[in-house]
Amino acid sequence: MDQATVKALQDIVGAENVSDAKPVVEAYVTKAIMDVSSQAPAVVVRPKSAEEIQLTLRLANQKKIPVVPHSGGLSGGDATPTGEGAILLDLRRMNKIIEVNTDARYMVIEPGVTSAEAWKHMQDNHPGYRPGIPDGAPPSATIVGNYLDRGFHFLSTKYGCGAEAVLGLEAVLPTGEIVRTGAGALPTSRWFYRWMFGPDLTGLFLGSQGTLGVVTKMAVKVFPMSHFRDVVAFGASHWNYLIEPCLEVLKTETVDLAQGGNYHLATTRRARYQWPPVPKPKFLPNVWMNFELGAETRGQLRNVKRKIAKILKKHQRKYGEDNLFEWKLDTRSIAARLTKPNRISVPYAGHKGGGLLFIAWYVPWQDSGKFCETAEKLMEGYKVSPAVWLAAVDHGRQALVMPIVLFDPKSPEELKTVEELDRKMAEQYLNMGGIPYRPNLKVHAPMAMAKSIGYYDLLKRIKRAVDPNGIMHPGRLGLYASEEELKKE
Amino acid sequence: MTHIEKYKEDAYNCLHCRLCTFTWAWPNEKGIWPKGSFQATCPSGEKYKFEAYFGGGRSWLARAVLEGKVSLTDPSIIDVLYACPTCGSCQQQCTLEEPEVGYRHRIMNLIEALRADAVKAGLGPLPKQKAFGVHVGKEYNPYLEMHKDRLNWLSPDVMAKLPERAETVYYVGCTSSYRQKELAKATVDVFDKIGLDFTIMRDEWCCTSPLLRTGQWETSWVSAKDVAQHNVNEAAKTGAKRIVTTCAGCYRAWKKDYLEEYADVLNAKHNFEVIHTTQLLDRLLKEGKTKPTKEVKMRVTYHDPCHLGRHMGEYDAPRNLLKAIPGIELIEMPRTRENAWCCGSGGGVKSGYPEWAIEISGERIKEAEALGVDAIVSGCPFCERNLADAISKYDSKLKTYDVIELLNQSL
Repeated sequence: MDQATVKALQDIVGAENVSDAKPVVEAYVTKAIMDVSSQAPAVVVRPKSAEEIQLTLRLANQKKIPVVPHSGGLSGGDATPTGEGAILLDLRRMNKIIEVNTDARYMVIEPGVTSAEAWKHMQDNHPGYRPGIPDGAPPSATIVGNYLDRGFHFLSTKYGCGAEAVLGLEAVLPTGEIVRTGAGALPTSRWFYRWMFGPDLTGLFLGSQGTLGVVTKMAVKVFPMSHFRDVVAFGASHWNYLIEPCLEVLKTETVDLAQGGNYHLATTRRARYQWPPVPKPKFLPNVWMNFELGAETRGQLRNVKRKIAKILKKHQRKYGEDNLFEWKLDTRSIAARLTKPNRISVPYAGHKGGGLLFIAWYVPWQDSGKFCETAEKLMEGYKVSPAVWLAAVDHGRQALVMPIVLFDPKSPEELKTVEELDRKMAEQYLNMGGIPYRPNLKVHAPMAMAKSIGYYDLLKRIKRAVDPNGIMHPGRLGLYASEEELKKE
Repeated sequence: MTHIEKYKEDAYNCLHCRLCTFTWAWPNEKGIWPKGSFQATCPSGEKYKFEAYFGGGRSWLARAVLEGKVSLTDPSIIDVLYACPTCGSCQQQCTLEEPEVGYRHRIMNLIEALRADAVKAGLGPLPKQKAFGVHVGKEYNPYLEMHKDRLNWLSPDVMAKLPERAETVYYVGCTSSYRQKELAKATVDVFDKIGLDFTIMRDEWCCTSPLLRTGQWETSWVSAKDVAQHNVNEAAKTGAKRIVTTCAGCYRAWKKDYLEEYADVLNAKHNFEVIHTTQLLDRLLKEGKTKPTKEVKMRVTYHDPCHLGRHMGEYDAPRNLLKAIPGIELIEMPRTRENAWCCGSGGGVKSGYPEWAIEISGERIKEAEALGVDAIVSGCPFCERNLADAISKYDSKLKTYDVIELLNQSL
């Protein structure tokens, strides 16, 4: 990047908040988590306010420089540039909790607020309520980043994905205008309602992966904390015996969080570096589902558990007790499951020396068993330990199927295998009707977009209207990877 | 082969999840997270803010170096490598599950190996760090003092009483010999009071910790190996079975660096039992061989030195001693034990970035002041020195002590 631009950026945010030093910019690279394609930016800028972002975007627009917003960085490769020469906006200085309203039950936060900070703030100041923080992911993840990516949170089974909990936001558009969506767009109003008049413009930014602007504030719902909590788990010999009874439980709409997977999910949490996968330990079922339950009274909790037990019995009569059973968890496992925030997903990285890619898809719960099985077969075919995580969203209307692909990042061959596996899985999953959770650059977005009915064209038209020079995170969602592509549009 | 290649596995083991950026203190049974949880933990990252200054960023930088994308001759790397007290908190937060799942990520080794490679490439260390390195090569201490003055803190009558040979060697260390002399004196007093059979090496050299931490492993001006080997040979001459140190940095060097971490660099393996003064006295206390009796009326908090706590896993011995002193009320800071905020003097920061070192310490002083205590106590003269500097700079009313000094008052 030319030094005049660097100087202009320094004038906007202060010299100490800009760096184009190679060792500094390279440290933002992450070839893991949600994408293994990741480029170092040309320069990192650390703005403190929407106004500083506004000036930065105006400059970038004038010079046609790509810009990538980056809050906690926990989306891994997704949160880094797709090509060379980009400005990376490190938003961690914008970490204020602006407002908490426990009557309308929301909090307004800046993009740098981590799950840990939001949780602790609510615990210490509003103990009856908690924000929907991601479960399993380290609480260094930001709420804004997770919700913008339609992320999963610890009450997603009950309340839907993170994006469903957004009540409005403030964004700086690529051309520099500051806009607000939802009721908060009206200066006299509160952030109590996601819509203004007209269409849901909040939704426009959710899932946009930073391609339509930089979100600088977000109003998110906070949820009441249950006084009594417990975990009940089903084990099964195969997905075929698990999905239907779980759906019946989910339809009762009493479960806070339902998540499970296959036994590889437990065995790959240890550093091992081996193929074939570790054999199934006796104490683990082949597949399982945990139901995290919460209630206001002990009696209510008991009733929910009774109801679940009844559903289990009914399906055991159909499938047999060897194929479907209650998996009794010990106290330690229950406590670990109920601890929020937690860091359960991190040790997976150690299994093969740091390489971890979550290939997650939204699928209809009723079909989720088939998706899981497909993933297992494909992964085994590529000699990858077939760890698959499955969770219910919105009472089982949706499921998140997430094959956890563990690889040795030191090996270019393994990296190639991962990309090939991802492509193959995307082909099959799209044919089966799945929707990519956080569509990655090379595989999910182009494939899904190509198959969509009018959706991609509409998205491109919106993109052109909002970001005429295509500066915002070019390449993401299959939108303008280069200036040539932009001209072709 | 570069030094960083030895730690390639560790560099690639980083998922880049940013858990290294804050403290992790588990919640109580009701799920309430304590005050010390999710607090700032990385002095370097908190100061410089860019990702490269946190543990994870440095790991990805190490990858970039290994892949030839970043050169160790690029002057812009110098602060990224050296503006870090190597307190190890990033590694602590990252590898919490290591005993259970084997997830290993030795971030401190990555940083020190990169520093050693940068020195080899002619870029590091920082000028003041090189100055102390050169001085260690000539006068065997990093304080630019004369070697002949090393034992000046010791009164001639005590010196005369010290035997040539003894079961225990009190390895004094450079900081206590030249700066925190009261600690050295208090230690000798305590050993005398409990009747310990001990001596002091007549030709003690720097433990090599400052050299190892700043990448000055094998240079044209100093050889860490020669220095370490000299110490081991000198200690052997006393016939001792045990080396006792009051300095947490020396303790780590003798116990971990000589024997494990940098055994291949130093080639100074030995068979001594290496023990920190607080551990020795805690042991004697438990065996009933000593007992503090005099009252020391004071409300204190204990600051865990990184080199004793996170690096070596010793958190209880100093606390046991403090609790055994009549009149002492020990109050914990929110960031304590594994999550202790560093004093800021380690890893070459005290010499390389003196103002910032005191800033870091200043944060610790504020944390202690909020408890309403009279004093902040530590188990390392280097911590004590930097904490004292911050107290003076920020006009705090707190006092600083080493555990041994308070124990000495009570015996």
